[in-house]
Amino acid sequence: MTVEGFEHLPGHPLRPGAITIPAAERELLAEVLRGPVVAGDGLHPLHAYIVAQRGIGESIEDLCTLADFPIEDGPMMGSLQIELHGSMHADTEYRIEGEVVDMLRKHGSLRGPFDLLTYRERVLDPAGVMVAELTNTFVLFRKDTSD
Amino acid sequence: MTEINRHIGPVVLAPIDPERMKAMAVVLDDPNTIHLDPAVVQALGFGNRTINQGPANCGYVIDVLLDHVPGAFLERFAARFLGNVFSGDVLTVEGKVTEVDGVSVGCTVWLENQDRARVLQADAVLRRPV
Repeated sequence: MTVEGFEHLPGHPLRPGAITIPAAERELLAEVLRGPVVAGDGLHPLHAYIVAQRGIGESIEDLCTLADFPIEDGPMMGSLQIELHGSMHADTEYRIEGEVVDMLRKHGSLRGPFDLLTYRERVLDPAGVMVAELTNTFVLFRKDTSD
Repeated sequence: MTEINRHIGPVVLAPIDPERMKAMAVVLDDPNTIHLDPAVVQALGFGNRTINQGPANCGYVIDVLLDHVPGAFLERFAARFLGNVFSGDVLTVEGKVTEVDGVSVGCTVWLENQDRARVLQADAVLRRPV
């Protein structure tokens, strides 16, 4: 069940956006991961997450604001799911749209109550074809709650 | 390399580098200070080392998968983050092939730290080149 007071969140649309990953960022990600650069102008599968997260019109702080969670309290990723339907390329503009899926309250034995904020993003190529779909969850440890 | 129960790895990674964490913050455009400032991590009660970005941990695992099945296309990658990865941690990627259906290869993979604590668990589906 959705956290009380946040019943409006399921289905809440995220501001759409667009982004182009320049070719130079392919090398930067490879350097960070200490891995190989993808051949040609292809993007690493992780770029599906990067494109979606940077391209959507909501920052991580904006997502936290939707959940009434201060960014300085340190949201943590709980899960990340990437579904790739096609290859992605540098220097190509991708549009991103999405929505909040839900926010559920859980109780941890060590750290007390926390909320799981799940949201979904779809990455569309210039022809409007969906090339990737992301479903991610943030863990929001609540400091001030009587729950 | 892709028969059922075929082991993947283990692949031991270089220690998590706080400078690469800062670079990843730029790549992700993520200002979350738990990745940048040990004092913030300490104030939150998670110790005194910066925390590695979850997507970076996924990236290490994805690279091992793609190395295990050369030329494959990653169709699906679903990860659960089970624990924090801190700067200086030494991670090991390991897994196994769980399903083979034509060109589709299913795998389960995980990431463990130097204390053998599992910090990430993922399922993946790759499409082998024809």
